[in-house]
Amino acid sequence: MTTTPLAIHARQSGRALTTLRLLTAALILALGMVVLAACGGDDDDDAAGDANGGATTTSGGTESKVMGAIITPPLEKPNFVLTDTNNKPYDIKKETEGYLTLLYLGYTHCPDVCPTHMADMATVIKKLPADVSSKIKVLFITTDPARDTPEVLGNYVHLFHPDFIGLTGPEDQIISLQKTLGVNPATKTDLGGGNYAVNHAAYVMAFTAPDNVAHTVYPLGVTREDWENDLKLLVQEGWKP
Amino acid sequence: MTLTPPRRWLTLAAVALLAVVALSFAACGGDDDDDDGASSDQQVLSGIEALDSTGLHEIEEQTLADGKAPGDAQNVARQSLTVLRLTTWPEDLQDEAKALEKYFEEMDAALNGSDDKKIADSIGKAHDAWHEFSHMVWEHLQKHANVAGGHSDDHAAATGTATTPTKMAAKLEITGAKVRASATDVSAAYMTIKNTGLEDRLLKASVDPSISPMVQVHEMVADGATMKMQEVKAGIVVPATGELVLKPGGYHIMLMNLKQPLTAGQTITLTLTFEKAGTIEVKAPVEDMTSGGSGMSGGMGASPTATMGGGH
Repeated sequence: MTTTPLAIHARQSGRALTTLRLLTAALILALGMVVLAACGGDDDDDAAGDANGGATTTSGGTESKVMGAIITPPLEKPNFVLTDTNNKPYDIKKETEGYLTLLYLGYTHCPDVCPTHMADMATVIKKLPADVSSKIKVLFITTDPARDTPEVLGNYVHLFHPDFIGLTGPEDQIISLQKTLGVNPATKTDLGGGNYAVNHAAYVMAFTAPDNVAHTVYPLGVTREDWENDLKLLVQEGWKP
Repeated sequence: MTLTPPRRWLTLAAVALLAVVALSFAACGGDDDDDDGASSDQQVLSGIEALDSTGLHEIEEQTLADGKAPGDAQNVARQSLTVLRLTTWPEDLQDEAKALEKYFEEMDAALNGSDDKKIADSIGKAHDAWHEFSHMVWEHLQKHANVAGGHSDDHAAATGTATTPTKMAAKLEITGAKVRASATDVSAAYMTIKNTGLEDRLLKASVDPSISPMVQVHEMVADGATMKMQEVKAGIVVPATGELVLKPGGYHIMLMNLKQPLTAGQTITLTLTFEKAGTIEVKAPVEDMTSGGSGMSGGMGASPTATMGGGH
């Protein structure tokens, strides 16, 4: 079902370990399953290069400390053309070239996890100095294209931040995108009365410039302080292994 | 009721005797009647007599008067624990006995420290819980003895002549309730439910149907890298002398099919239904949680809120 083998390594710094204790516990579990599931992968073609899932990208003498959960191998920025909230084609790779790109898969009828992530990112980005925030793009890609029309998406993402970008596409394209990103395609849970929950991967992926690769992901529970730390660091220094 | 030294001796003797009785019961194994036979009633009777005569009532009064617990308070806590643990209580009172044990454990622990306020608090709680428990046990025994009406233990008798067993209620206090301003036609409510009584269960929630006709209690469950949201049909446990926290990424109350957007500044009333405590109404302000508001790092309890209703 899934594709890219991922593994997560907390940096060996004390603070990072403390902060990441919960995150890594969750993610190691989560992504460990992905790794296991990946053995039967049917589309290895989009695996991000090196298939040696054991390789770590831990710090090699750099002083900066990334607080996000480090994934190995890193994820390539997906090469997809979706539809934006103005109903225009949006070429992800082209449009986000040169920006720190925060990609999140979610849906607008999500009551809990999605708005929490979105609010955390919006709050931190509004606080950052303009020379940093202007180098960041946030993409909210719906896993519920049936309900999330470009208009619905636009109203939603702009509640959080006027510059956030909402993207949708045909269902099969959204499924293929999720596979490319190494996560299980979202499933639905019926809640009755025509309502349904969409079960989707619940972390934000941060693609750095200029390498267009995500080395870190951010599950729910990352503090705003850690977000701020990482956004500054990743914008100003890119990824420095 | 004054407690004289000989009486204290009797108490100790009763405890010792009880221990022997309990042990011999245990040794005899499966011989016990499974349907509350005479021997079991007798054991319960000895147990409650021992528990009623530890002197907890006097300890509580003295603590209230002096602002400090008397020297033998810890002894009383430990005697009570001994009795509670060595007695096989009737099946329908075992949960209550366990809860009472917890109060005495807390009293014992508090007395190991030197925080007078905490000590007084723990004694007060243990005292109240003991009275309720004692009342229930006597009711149980009276039923078996075909005696109608209340028994005559201090002031517990004054609390009623109930012939139907009353469950020890959960004592719930709800704080930090808030509702997300809606971005679409759904929203979520969060809060902390503190329980100073017995274990309870949050079964369901509702709001005025003109706001949302469909409200469910949800949990988020990690399934691999995926977060699954699902209704908790069996309800969520509110632990005895503990708390249940509804917060992002964990539990929430989801409001669906909103008839109109929920905007910051509004206040809505949530009606929560608990297994034991019945329904409680909570006023929850609608908060803009899209930015600046409290997210994970902002903490949940930051905002003022929530009234608390009570009872059945």
